[in-house]
Amino acid sequence: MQDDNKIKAVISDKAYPVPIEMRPLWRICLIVTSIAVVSGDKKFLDSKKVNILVWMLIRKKRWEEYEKYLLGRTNDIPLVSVDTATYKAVEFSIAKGFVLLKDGRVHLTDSGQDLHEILVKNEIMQDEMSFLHQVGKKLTGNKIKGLTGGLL
Amino acid sequence: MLGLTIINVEITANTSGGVFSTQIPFSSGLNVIRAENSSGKSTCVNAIAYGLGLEAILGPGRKRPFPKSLYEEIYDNKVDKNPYFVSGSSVCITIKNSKNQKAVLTRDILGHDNKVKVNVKDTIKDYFLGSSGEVGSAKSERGFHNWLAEYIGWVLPSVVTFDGKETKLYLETIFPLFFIEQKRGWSEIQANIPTQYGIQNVKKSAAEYCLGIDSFEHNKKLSRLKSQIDKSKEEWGSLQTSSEGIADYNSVRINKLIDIDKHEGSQSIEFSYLENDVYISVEEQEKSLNKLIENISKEVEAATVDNDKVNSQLGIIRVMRREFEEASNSIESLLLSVSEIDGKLSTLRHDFDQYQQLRRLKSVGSDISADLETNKCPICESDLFDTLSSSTVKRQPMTLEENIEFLKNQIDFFGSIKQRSLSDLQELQSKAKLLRAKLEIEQERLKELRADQNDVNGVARGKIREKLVAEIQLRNVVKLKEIQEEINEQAERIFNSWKTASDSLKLARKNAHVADRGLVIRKLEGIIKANLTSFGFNPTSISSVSISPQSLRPEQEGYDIVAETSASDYIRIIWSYTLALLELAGVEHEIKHGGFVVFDEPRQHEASKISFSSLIKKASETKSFNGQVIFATSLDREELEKACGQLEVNVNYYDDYILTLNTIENAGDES
Repeated sequence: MQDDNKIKAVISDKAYPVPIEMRPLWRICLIVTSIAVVSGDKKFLDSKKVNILVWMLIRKKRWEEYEKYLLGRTNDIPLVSVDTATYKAVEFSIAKGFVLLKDGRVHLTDSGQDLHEILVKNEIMQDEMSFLHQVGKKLTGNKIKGLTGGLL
Repeated sequence: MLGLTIINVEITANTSGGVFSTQIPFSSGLNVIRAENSSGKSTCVNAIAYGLGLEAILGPGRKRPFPKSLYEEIYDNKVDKNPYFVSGSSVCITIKNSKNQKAVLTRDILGHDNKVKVNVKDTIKDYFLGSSGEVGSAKSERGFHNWLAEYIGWVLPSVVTFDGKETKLYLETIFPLFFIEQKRGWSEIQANIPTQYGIQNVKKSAAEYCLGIDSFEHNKKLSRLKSQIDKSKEEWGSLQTSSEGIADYNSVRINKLIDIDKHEGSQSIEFSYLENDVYISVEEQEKSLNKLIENISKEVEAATVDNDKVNSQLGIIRVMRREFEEASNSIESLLLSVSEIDGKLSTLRHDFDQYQQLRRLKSVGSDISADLETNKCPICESDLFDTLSSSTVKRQPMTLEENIEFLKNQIDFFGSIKQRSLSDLQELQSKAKLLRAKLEIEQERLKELRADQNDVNGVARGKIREKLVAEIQLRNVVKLKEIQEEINEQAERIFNSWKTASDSLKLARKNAHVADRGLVIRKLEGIIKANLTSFGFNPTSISSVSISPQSLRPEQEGYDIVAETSASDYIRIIWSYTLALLELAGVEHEIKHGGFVVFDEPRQHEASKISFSSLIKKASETKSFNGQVIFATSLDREELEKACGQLEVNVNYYDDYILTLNTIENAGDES
């Protein structure tokens, strides 16, 4: 092997890049928008539903697959699992006062509502909102049961 | 040489009333049996022929040569009317040959008449007569005639029949020269010669054998040669036909073959092929075909394809194809890589877009800006890294701006890689295109080479086919040549055979009269003329009597003597001729004679008394050379006694029937 091809290992404490969905604010926005768009006037959603919607939203490449399932065009069940980052983000959102946890449901606060409106106004997360408008309401209890097998 | 002498003849008839018999002793010289008509004279002389198994010389009635007295009934005397019924009868004759060897021959007349009991020195043997199976009495070891010929000392020659077959000259054909029986014997010389054997020139043959001037071997040779010539001609004809057939079958011409006897020297058969309106021989055709095959072989060799060119072109194409495949693989791999880069770029751009959205949110969200900060835990206010991931090391994630910058760099980095890949791709695609074009050209070239090869192969194939046809033709020509050689060998053999036979035949015909038969004939002629003079033959005619060299019989001025003479003169001719043969045989060893002469009623047609006396005298003289003459006559006793005079003659007189009861005591007087 030639010396030019030698690879030298370097150990560094340089800051590392983080995927957008792992940024707390991004995920808080996703939680808030999910509740705002899908719950309508009720302004709250089951925590399971929130979890699943966020799972779907951060996987933009599989939206087509989710859409087919939710619209009942396929019986193939897409993979949905526990995402601790979403739990953290929910807790974050509660601490920040954007949502409330009550009776196992996540309620949107006024502050949360304001955040949603800022997003809408500044054309942020438009794709996500469009996805939620299109299929968000199709995520029924049965669909959740099908997706999770009743585990979540 | 004189063959036999009759010593005694005994005839016996057994009847219900006793045995009738007679016994007649004979000596050399003249023996006369004198009795009245119907007394049994002919029976006595015929008994000699019968006892020798030669009843065929007695004429047409030979199957029953005796009167009914020896078959049915017999009378004691001419007056007695009481018949005695015959139950059996036989003849017993005693003979001796030139070596003085005695033999007693006994043969049944009524009984087993087809065998003869021969007693030589008290050794008795039975011999058969007629034919026994396919072999007759003359040829079989147990045949009586075979025995008799051997006893006499004759080797009977083979003669040719009218069928062209060989057969023996039977004794029955010779003895008519010596035995003149009463009924037909005086009508002609050799009157009673049997013709049923179908022997060619039987009378002449018998006379020739007797005179020792036989040309049997010569005739046989002529016949054999003629047959050989005919056979050769026949073979030549078959050869002609078969040669023409072969020529037809092989579609060749054959030279015209002329009949074997119309051509000088041997003819050779030549087949010839028609080539370009010219006829050429088989040998020339073989040569020309060999040359043609040789030339075609050379042409075929020259037309053989050089496969190296094709193989080399195939090698080039293989290399180019490999290069093209490598380029294609590289393109494929680059395309995949570009696609992956595109995916990566898309993700990066998406991330970049979302980060920009997040930055915008942060920048516009002043109303709730405090709530949007995530640097500290909202619960415990402790420092919090801006990530939801669990961090086990104290290493900080990038800030929002840093992350955006990072993503931008990443996009640029992958963008440049993509650019380079696309450039490489373009280059590779150009290369592949060029390779493909070249490959097409080379393939086209290969196609051309192969087409050339096919053309060359086509020519070679045509040549090989031509060669094959020529080889088949050559094989046929060689075969025909062999046939021609074979036929010519046969032709030469046939010609040589014909030539030899033909030349031999000419020579044999030329030498036909070389033998000293002339001398013998002259001697015979001399004796005959002397006899004729003694017997009172017309003196003026004697000089014109001669022996025909062709028939060996007397003729007068070249004409048949019967037509030219009176009946009594013809009788004299027969006396003269028959006695001349005996006389000649008595002095000439070469002349084969039976040894005795029998004249039954020699005084036929009332030949003059003087002539008869001369005959008696002449016959009695035969004693001088041990010849034997037997007369049976009904001449008056007185007249006979007068004719015999002082001559030494053995005369047996019978006044009644010769066969009588109690025979021995009643035997005739002997003078």
